[in-house]
Amino acid sequence: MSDGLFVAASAAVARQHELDVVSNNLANVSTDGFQELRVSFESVLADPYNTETNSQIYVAPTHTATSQQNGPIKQTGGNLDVAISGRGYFGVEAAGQQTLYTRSGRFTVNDSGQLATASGHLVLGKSGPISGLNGTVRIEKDGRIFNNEVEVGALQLYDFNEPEKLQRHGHLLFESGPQQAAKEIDGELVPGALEGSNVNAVMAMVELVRVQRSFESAKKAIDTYRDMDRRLQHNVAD
Amino acid sequence: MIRALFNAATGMKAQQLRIDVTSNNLANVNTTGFKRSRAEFEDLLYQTMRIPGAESSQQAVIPNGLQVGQGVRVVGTARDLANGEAISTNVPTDMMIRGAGFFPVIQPDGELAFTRDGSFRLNAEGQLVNVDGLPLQPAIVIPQDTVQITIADDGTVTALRPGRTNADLIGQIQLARFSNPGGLRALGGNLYAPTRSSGDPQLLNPGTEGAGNVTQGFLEGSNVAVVNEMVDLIVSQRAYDMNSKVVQAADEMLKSATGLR
Repeated sequence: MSDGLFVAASAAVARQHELDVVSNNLANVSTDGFQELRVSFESVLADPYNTETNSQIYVAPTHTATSQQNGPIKQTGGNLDVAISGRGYFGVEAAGQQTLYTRSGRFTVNDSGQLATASGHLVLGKSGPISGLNGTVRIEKDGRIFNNEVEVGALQLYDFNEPEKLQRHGHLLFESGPQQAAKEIDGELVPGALEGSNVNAVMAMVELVRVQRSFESAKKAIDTYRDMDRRLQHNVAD
Repeated sequence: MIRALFNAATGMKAQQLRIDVTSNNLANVNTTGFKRSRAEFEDLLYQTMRIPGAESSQQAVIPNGLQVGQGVRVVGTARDLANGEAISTNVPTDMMIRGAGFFPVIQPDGELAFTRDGSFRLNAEGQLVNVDGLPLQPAIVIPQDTVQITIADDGTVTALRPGRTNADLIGQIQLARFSNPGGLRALGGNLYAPTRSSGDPQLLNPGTEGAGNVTQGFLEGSNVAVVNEMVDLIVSQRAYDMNSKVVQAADEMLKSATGLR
C-alpha cells in the first residue's frame, strides 16, 4: 500500500476541517461584533530524522486566528449601542472576576441599573462596572456615559499585541490567554451604531468553492492510488 | 464535516428567526405606538483543539490555539424604543408621549400594563379607556355635559362645562418610566408588562424626571422604517441562501467520501 494514499487522505481531512471553520463564519455572517476565524495549515514530515530518502509530507491544521479587519459600522440609533472605530476591545466581567473582551457594543441596562451585554455580563468602565443607570442614558464618542446628563462613568478599551491570537469563548467574547496581557488604550467610539460581522460573504463563498474543489482533488488522488494498488495486485497475481 | 452541516443549520435557523422578526415589524408599519424589534445574534461556544501556551515538546510552546466554532444562536430580540412620528388626528382624547414614558392601563385581572398607544376613548361611564376598553390609570372620568376637554403638556386634564367660564380640573394623567424599557415584555394589543430586566415602573407626572410630555390631538406612529426592514429582509434571505450552500457543499463532500468504498 502506498504512503501517498495517507498523504492524500490527510489533505481530505484538512479540507473537512476548513469547511467546519468556513461554515461557522458563514453562520455568523450577520452577527454584529463577530470577527472571522481563519485556520492555517502546515506540512508535517512523517519522519523528520530521515534525511536520505524523500520523506512523506502530510498536511495538518496548526492554528486558528481571528481576523482583525474592521466590520462595517451600521447606524442603529440605539442609545446603548456603541461601535469601536479602529483597534480595541471592550472589557466585560465574567464569572470569577475574570475579564473577557468583546468587539460587540450592543449593551443593555440590567435590573440593578448596571451596563451589561446582551448575555448579561457586566461591562467594565475605567473604574469597574458602570452602575447608576436609571434614566436617559447617553454614551459619548470618548466613552463617557451620562445618566440624565450626569456623568456616571466611562467605557475602557483594551488592546493586545497580537489580538488575532485571542482565545474565543462564544457569546462574542474573547479571553486574553496566558501569553499576552491587555493594555488600556484610548480609542474612538461611534455611539448609536454597531459594528457588523467582519465576515466577507463573497470571500467566504469563494472559500467554500475552493474547499469543496480541493477536497475533490484529494479524493481523486486517493482514487488514483487505489487504482494503482489494484493494478499492482492484479499484475503480480498474473 | 458533520459539524459544518450543523453550523449551517444554526445559521439558517437564526436567519429564519430574523425574517420572522422583520415580517412582524413590517406587518406593524401602521400600528400606533408600535416599537420595532431586532434579532440579536451571538456565536456559540468554541471547541478548543489546541490551547496556546501548551508545550508541543520539551523545547517548543504552541504559539497559537486551534479552535473550531459551532455556529450562531439568537440571544434575544431587542426593542428599538425610538419615538415614532407624530400623526395629527384632532381627536381631543388622543395623546402622544414625547419622551420615554408609557401610559399605565389596568388589565381585567387588576394588573397594570403599559402602552405607548395613546388613542383613548370614553366608555359608557365617561371614563378614559384604550381601544380595547382597558381604563387609564389613575382613572379619569369626563363629566357627561363637557363641551371641551383639554389635556395639558404636564398631563392635567381640564373640562369646560356649559355655563362656566373656567375649565374644571378633573384629573392628572401619569406616565410610567422604566430604568430599562428595552427589557419590557410585549403582551400584544400594544401592551407591555414589566420584567426583572425592565425594573419596576415609576409613576410620574408628565414633564418630570424624563417621563416625557403629553401632546393632545396627536398619536405616535409606528417607528418601523419600511426601507430598513426591506434591506434587512434581503440580507437575511441572502445569508440563508449562503448557509444552505454550505449544507450542499458538506453533503456533496460527505457523499464523495462515502463513495471511496
